[in-house]
Amino acid sequence: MIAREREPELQPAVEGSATVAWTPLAAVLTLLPVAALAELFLVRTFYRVGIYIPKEGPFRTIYRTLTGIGSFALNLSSVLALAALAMLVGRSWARGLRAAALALGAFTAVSLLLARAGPSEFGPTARAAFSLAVVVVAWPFVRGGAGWWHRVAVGGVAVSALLSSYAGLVGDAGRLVPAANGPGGAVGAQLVGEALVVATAFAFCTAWASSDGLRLRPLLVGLGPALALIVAWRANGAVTGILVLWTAGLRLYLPVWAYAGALWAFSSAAIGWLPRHGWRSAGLALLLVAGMALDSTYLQALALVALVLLTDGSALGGLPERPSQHGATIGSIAPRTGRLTDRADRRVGARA
Amino acid sequence: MNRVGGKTVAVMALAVGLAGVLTLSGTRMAASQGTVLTAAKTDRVVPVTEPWSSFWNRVPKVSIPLSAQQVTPPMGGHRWTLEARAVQDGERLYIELEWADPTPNRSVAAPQLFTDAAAIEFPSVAATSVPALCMGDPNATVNIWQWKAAWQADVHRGFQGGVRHRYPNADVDGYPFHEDPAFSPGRYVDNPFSATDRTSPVDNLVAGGFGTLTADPAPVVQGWGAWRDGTWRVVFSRPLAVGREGNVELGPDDWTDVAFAVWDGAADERDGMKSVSSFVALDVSPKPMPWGPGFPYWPAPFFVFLALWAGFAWMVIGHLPGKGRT
Repeated sequence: MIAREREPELQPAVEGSATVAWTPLAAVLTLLPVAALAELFLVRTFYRVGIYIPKEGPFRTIYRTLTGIGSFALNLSSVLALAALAMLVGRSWARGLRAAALALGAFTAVSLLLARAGPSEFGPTARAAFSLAVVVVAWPFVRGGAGWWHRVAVGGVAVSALLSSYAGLVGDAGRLVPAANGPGGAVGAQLVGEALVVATAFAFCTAWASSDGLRLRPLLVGLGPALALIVAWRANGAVTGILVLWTAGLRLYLPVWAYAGALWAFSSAAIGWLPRHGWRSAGLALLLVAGMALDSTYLQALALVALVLLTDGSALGGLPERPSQHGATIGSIAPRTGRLTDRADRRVGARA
Repeated sequence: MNRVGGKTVAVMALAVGLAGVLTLSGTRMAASQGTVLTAAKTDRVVPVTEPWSSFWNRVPKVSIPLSAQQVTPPMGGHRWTLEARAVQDGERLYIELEWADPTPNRSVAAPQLFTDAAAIEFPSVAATSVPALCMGDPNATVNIWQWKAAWQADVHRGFQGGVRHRYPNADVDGYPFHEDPAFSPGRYVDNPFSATDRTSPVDNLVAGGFGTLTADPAPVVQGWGAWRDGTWRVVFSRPLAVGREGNVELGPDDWTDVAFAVWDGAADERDGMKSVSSFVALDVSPKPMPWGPGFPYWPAPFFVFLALWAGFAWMVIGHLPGKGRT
């Protein structure tokens, strides 16, 4: 069943070439998840946890150094996210995909404007532009020919992003045109969006298993983050709960085992896709950093790039080849059986 | 083997350089778009003790999701929605909270009774994106204003915690040491719930971490609540600046983080058993609050905007690659 839903290889393959050039876009898209994850761990996590640790002796230096690196990573990540969007705009424009280019370009321009002017006047504009870009990026993929579970997962991400934006728009509306009875539904949208995010994680896992074959190693490695969440929750629910809220924007209103299960499925998919669909793994990493709240243009930019990567750039004329996995993408890889085995990993490794 | 071209190196160098400049200059390229509770300026007299006054109906409200407090024992609470409104008159800040609660609980006169309550939390030093976790931390204390329905009953009708109020038909021959504080242990150890001379239903608290909650004895925060048809409305009021350590100092054009909590006495909620929000931004705005007729037809233009957006989106996706062209 799983093998039958296997989807076609969307990333371009270059045969007979031993050398692949790093294009600027490929380099930016590769470095962006690294910088974003560094920011997530060093600024949003370590900086806040470190407040509780007495900063004496060597720890003071370590703390200062790591949070300094984290601050740089945040800035690098925000620059790379906007650079990636700008390059994607140029790429799709050059390929004649003007509508997609304009939608993405509008959001990029408004983000730059907002960074300069502040959110009070242009906040709704950014949300509207972001929502439009989400639809533009996700729509061709959702109605396209990719695997059913993959399309469901991307659709889930897009809908939860739209729900989060709706909640934000409601807040913006009441602020910009003060009125006693403003539009409502913000809280409901957030709650539904969070439940959708949890469900979508399982859809991504199924999509990975469908496209690349179910393998044991990603499932085992994926258990790590899930177990870490449960252990951290048991050890210190106070700090863990707030950190999850501030890192991923999740309110944890569902039972914690649901989130742990979702994290396991999500991590398994991210690790499982790495050998053959590295851009999708990068997209999942960016999605994690972007979180659910999407309450800044930086997080919105990350979410958009994540969607582009998770949709294999289908709305923008595809993605550049990943040089680091060039060996794995040369020619075609023989279909896998979908058995629960690690041998497939080893075969890909041998080809690479 | 992978090759890195000069153009790629230039782009990456530019990105790293720009990030370095942003780091050194303390500039961020991310613009926050979180929920903002705006306290616009009003010249009118704010009805602090009339939460159901029509005045409050005309102040813009923000919906804030609450969730059960599940991070530190004792855990509890509900998944409720809180409506918050705020105004300022240049001297005082007024915040009104509104939430649905089917039964009012206004007594703590017996061990099994718990009061409805609501609280507002600020970082002691007004700021946004502060690293305060729940009850703050030693390096970043928080200032909490907590209104209790039971305390309001004390202020309104006199101390309600005595045996006579709880059991009006009880009969005793007499207490020989009625005036001896040793026989009123609550008052003897200064338990704030045993105080009989309360002047405000709002407790002004400062905390620097779990278990450090301390009452500021100065009654700088005023407030009043009223329950009607299954809904509580509570107004908090305090001078923008009070000049006391641990108390948040606000100016007429300040932004700060603010969080909310609600206790349901009927569900035996007290202490950490409460419904809490995450931080939202409070904008103490110098702009005047628009008065006049208001804008009662809000949903119409909002949904027209959404419909226009959807129409535009539909038009745009009509120009996107279709099925089979991906």
